[in-house]
Amino acid sequence: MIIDVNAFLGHYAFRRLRHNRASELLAIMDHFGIVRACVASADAILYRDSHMGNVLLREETLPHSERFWCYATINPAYAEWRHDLRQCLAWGFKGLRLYPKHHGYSLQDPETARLIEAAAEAGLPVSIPVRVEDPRQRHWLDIEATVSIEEVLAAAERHRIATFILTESVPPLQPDAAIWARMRRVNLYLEMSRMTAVMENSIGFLIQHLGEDRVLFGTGLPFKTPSASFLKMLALDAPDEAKRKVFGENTRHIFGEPPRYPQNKE
Amino acid sequence: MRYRTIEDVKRLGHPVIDCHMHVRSERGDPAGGLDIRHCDQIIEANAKLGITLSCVIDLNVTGPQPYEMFHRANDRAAAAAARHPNHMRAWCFVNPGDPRAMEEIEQRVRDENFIGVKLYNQHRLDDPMLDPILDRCAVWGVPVLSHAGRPNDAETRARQPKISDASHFAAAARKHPGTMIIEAHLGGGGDWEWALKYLRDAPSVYVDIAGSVVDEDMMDRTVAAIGAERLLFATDMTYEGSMAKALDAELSNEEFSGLMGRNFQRILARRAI
Repeated sequence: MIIDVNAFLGHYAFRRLRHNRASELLAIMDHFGIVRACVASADAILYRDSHMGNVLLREETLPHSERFWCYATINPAYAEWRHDLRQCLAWGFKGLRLYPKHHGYSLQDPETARLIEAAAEAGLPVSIPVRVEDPRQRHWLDIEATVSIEEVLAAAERHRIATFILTESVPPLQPDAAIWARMRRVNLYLEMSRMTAVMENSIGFLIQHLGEDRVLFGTGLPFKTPSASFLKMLALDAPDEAKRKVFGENTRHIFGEPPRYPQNKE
Repeated sequence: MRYRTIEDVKRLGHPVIDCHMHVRSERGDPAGGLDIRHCDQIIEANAKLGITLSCVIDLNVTGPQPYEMFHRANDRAAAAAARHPNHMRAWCFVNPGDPRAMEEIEQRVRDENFIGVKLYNQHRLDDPMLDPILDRCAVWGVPVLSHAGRPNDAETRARQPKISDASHFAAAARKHPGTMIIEAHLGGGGDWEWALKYLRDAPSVYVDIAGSVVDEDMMDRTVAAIGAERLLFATDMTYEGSMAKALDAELSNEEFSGLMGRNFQRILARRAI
């Protein structure tokens, strides 16, 4: 089973996105054999009230709820985030999405800590993209800062009950770095769409140092072209069992299978 | 929607050419020899993705680059091509501001059969200092591959103040219409949409599609802007992403064949020395 842990629906303010409607994304998913996609609202990245992105995401995915697991994009620095989180939980959203750089807060802020704890208590994994776009092509109104693995690791160390997913990440490639021991002690998973399986082979390196249970398949659709991640899995020199975990088993475990949607017969 | 696979690449029946790839020195030492292990890894990676020929430059291209450095770098590129003669060819990298740049080009391109000239960011492509090089390449019928980008972030702009963007390529092409100029790595991280605006009206400028940016509509937008005949497959070390851009582009079989090797073969066929 292939699950894409890093997908979006909706519009992005700084660049046209194609295939950003549910029906269009589903067509691509079907072509590549992606059974389910974990989707966040692209609108919510830059909306002042990011919860409006969640509203649109729910409307868009409702007819296809067996194929999408929705991230609730919540800004803990904005008004009444608890209401937004409660509503997303009532709608069956399966994960939390944070944009600390775009939304102007720190993962160390007390209110962020309360949001992470609330999500963890509700069983939602916390997903954080390192970046939305490459900063070198940034729009002049966009930010340059990216989220560091150190920031997320520190948050994971503070919130041991929470599960963190770092998307668009590139792992450190120093084999003896103390960071590996720290990463192994917390619930932190890394999505692989910016990594490689040839030459420096950062995916293989990550599997070697953190374990095959911690790597998640993602595409970045519809921001990014889908074959890149599939080629990485094709080129990855790893046992079939490890690939199966990366392709979907790990994500299914994180998101708490069996699924809550009764129409899902898998 | 049309998505090709690696099997489609392997069925092409002609060389699949990565026109922009790098070798490197042992331990990153600019005075050192070729990193053999890394060089051989390129061949292994190529086999996985169906690439049959890599056109390589040494990775040590940054900084002031006096003659001794780029000459040594070209020695490593030559060593790579000699190690894998059927699967690697070399570009001649120079700092065009060095007084011995032309001497190096003559040795490598004319005498040692290097493909053409590779430039980095020491000087902008439309700088008059480069005129003799671009003219010479036109006479010899060999291409010029130049680093490029339109970075919108402060860090890259500060680090590469003389990086050439598409406007500099277009200006150089107007001055030297007979020179085959290749703008490197459209997906190299700068504003590729900005680049397309200038490339539309620069018919002698080719574009290599390498780079870590794999924006979903980049290839189709590029084909719509400049056509498919000026597109060249390249990785610049970002293997799967660059191949994915080629596989996922809306191209006819003939256009795909051109992208993956035929277009670059036509460039190589114009060699006149």
